[in-house]
Amino acid sequence: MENKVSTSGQTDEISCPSCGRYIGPYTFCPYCQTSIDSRVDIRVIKWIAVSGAIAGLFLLWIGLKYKDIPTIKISDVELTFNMAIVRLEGVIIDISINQKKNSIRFTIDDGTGQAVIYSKLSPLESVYNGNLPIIGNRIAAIGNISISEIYGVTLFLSSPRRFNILEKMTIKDMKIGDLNSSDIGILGRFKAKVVETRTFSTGRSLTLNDASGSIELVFFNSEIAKLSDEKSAKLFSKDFVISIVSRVDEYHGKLQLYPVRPEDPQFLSVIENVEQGNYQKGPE
Amino acid sequence: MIVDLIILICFVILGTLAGALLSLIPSLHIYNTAGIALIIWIQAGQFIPFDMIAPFFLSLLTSFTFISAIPMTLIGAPDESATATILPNTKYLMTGRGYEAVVISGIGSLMGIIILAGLSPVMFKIVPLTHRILAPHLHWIIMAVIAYMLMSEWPKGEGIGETSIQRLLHAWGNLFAGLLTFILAGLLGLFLTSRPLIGPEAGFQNLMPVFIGLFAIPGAIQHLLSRQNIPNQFIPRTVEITSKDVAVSGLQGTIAGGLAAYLPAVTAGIGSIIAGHTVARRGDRLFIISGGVAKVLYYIGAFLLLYLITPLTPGGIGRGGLAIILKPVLNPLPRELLLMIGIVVFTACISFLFLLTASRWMISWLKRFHYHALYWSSLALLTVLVFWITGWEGFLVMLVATCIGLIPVFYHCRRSNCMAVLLLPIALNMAGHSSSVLRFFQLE
Amino acid sequence: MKGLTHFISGIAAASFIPDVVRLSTTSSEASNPSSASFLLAIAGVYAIMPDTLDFKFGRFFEKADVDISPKPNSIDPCEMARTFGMAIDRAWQENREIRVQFNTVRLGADKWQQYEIKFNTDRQEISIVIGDVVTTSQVPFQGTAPEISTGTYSLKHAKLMPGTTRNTKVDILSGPMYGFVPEKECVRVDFLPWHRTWSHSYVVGLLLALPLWGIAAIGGWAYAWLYPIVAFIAFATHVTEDLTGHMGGSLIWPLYKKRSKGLALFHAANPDANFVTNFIAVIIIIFNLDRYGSRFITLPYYQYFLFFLVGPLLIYFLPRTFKKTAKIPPDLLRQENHPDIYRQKTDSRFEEIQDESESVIT
Repeated sequence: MENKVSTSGQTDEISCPSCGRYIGPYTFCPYCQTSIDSRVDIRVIKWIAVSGAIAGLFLLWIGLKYKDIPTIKISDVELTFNMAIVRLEGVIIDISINQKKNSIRFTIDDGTGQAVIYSKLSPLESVYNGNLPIIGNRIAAIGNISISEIYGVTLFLSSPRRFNILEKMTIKDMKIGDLNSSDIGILGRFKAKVVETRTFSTGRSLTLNDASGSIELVFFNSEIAKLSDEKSAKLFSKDFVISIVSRVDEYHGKLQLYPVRPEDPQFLSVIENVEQGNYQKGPE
Repeated sequence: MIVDLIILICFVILGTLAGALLSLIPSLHIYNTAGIALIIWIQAGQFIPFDMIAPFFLSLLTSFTFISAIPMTLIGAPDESATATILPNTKYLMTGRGYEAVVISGIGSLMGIIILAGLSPVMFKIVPLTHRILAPHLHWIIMAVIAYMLMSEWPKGEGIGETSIQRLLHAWGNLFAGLLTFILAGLLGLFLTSRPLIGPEAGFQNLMPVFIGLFAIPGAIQHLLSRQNIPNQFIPRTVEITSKDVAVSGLQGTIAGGLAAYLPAVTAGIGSIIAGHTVARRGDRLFIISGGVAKVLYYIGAFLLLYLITPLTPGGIGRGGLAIILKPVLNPLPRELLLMIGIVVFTACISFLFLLTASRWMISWLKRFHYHALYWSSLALLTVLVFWITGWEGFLVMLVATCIGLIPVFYHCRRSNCMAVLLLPIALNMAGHSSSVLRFFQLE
Repeated sequence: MKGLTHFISGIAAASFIPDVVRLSTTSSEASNPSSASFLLAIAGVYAIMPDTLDFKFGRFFEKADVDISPKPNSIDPCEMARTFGMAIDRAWQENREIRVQFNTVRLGADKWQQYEIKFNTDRQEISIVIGDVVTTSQVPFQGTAPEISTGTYSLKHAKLMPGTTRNTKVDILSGPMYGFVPEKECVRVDFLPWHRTWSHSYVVGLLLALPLWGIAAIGGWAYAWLYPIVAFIAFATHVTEDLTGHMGGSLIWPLYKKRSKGLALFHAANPDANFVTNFIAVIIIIFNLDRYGSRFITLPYYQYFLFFLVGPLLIYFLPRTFKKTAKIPPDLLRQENHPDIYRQKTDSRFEEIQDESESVIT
């Protein structure tokens, strides 16, 4: 370390050799235009900086333009994927719209797991002319992954054009007896009679029965809360026949149904006037 | 209960020490290492209690806000042949008062802690309401910050020349460089937030090569090119500050830190420029103390906004780098805020004491070794880090970012122009223009 | 006022227009919901524009008749005083305005040679006094002034107009320009003759705002007609705010070019005036954003301003109430009776410009 504390601070390095004025970092003296040769190193770095920045940015743009955005499986998402830009594919199993916040959330299932795709509502509506994708559609979306302890995996859509419908799916009528493990993740419309109801800590389950067999349909409290009082009263009374769009899933090795938008009459309706004889009674 | 408390204190001390040691490495930002530390933590999850994550990382961050004053002030001397302006900390260093500057900065940070703790109850009432009002307006507020930053940069050249054009060009040299930096950094941000060059498995650190390139490496290069030596440093028993300095800098630092903590992508540096103009006062001591206050509010205050869970803000207000890093594993509860403030105060006290010792130690170390050695090591460490985490793609991004980051260093404009890398994409995205941007650059 | 104060005030003024706030909101209720406008940021840009035009463009196009650039290693106050004095004499002899540009003497990255320009109207003399080396924060290195530090020149032809001169210290950033204008029997001293002239005119503001209409219309932006209105309001806010200072502006340039005087309420760089104006502007902006948008504030307006504006300002000024200040006798307040105070007020005009030139934008 040096001992001197200079007040003038002038050295040959920072003064013009011709007129003696302070020139600091200039490569030529702004007063007398003398070129400062000793600054040649910095001059080179300056040029490298500017030309490297412009050329590098251009090459980066070219590289990015032709680079594919990776498509990943939801189950592959790990902690280190947080904030990554990725492409997800899956079937829409739920849609939630918040007009006040101008937002829309699609819950998708790609067979390996579920994720939420979040977007602003109005740009998406303008791209799809009001005909937004519906439940059951197979879609692909590109956006930023966000992993949250509270909200799980969410993909934030940066542009409505990065949201594509791959396959418009019509919801088929299905028989309970035809279901097997290969149907996990798919949606179907089931028409069956409620033969038993059971309450558990976070919701209620109904045992459905049609001519082909029986299966458990699980309602969580959050979904029950969305139903009208009349609808839930009928739904959780035995012997009513319902028509419901559900997703097939598995719990402890046993197939189960999960309701999709049960608050929507097109997805869940309670039918009262059906002949009793068409339905087998479940175990009491 | 007592065992839990002992474990908590152990992790807080561990975080403080880790933060202190990492903060002593010049050019290395704590956010560059916090993400990696989290991954290591998760992998060793069975040995480490999960609920100690927040206390550990918060103490790591608190320690950084204090100890980072050491490399910022003491390590490196400016070469007047390569700089146009000298920051107050460096002025102190060059007149042998580097230790004093570090202590003043530490006092500023302690003030920041007191302000943060004192304001917390008030913040619970005011911030959520203000947030709900301002949230739909953040896009233009950020754009206004950008506009002001660009328009408020003063021509550093004195406007010397025979003709008007010569005078204009002489004075505007650094302003052109500032605009160029802003445009290039903004484009880099728009490109990298549109399409990924780095694989998704390194997504959590996708901005690390950008920030190391824009800020850390150019800073290190600037110090490595300097042929100036550090003058002898004096260790005084007293520091020169007045009660007026404390009051004014407290206000200035609170405004700076508050702005930086709340507004996305606005850093403490940008906040300090705005706050300095708001209170319309200047001075070296004011700059250093308010800088200390601002750092605390920017880093720690932003993180604590996560705990501001109220009916108006049910998900808290996530701001700042640490909130982003910890979001995947953190489920903040409002009742934990008091505990977090306690941890911050505890860590701050230890960090301040460590600051006094570490700065003396650093001064004596720098008598024996040249500061260039530290910068060479730091440069190597950063490069290895980028290559290891983000691969060659990240390395390329870092090179481009380094070129952009060198422009303000050698053309003497504000380095905060580099923050356009985040400011521009965020403002455009918030306003709903990102789709048009993607289309314009054919990156859709 | 400082640059930031103008900037925020411009935004505050524009926020009084409900459509501006609605267009700037990112929500489903906005008139243009797909993308929100940056109108309020544009207001900020136009609010800072007058000083930007002056300090970043205008001043470089002002040609000085005499340029005084002291040499750092052989600074000669006598030579400087002689050059300066002869320029003033020349203004009188040639019966035209002569402009003199003083340049700063930079000695290092943070070291400047300070010197003072002094006028003595009683003896019709001007002096240059070389001072200490100072830092960029204007802190002197004591004892660094040269031995021969003063140069004086007695005016031979011209007579300086009393009340228009002031002693000025030149040290950091860029030096001042003086204009010497022959008027009747004296030479009037015009400090920074290029500042607050054409750039601080409502007419120029209108002309600069109008192109925004075209840009907005071509860009297909909603409410294109609103853009020039917002820009003009912001520009006019700046010009009007500057009238609170000691020096006004050429308000309707080019229709009437003379620079008006200000209300002399405070300096441009007065910390309290700037801080208070900024604070008021922010409180108004939040109030307007809420009442034309989210409507989260349930308090009546008087309670809102009482709690969030008056209360904090009382706290801000509270420490001053405990400070003892010397009272000025009422008769002293009549400035024409007291040349000292009159001179102080004239000095303020010059300080204001110098403060502004250093801080508009630094």
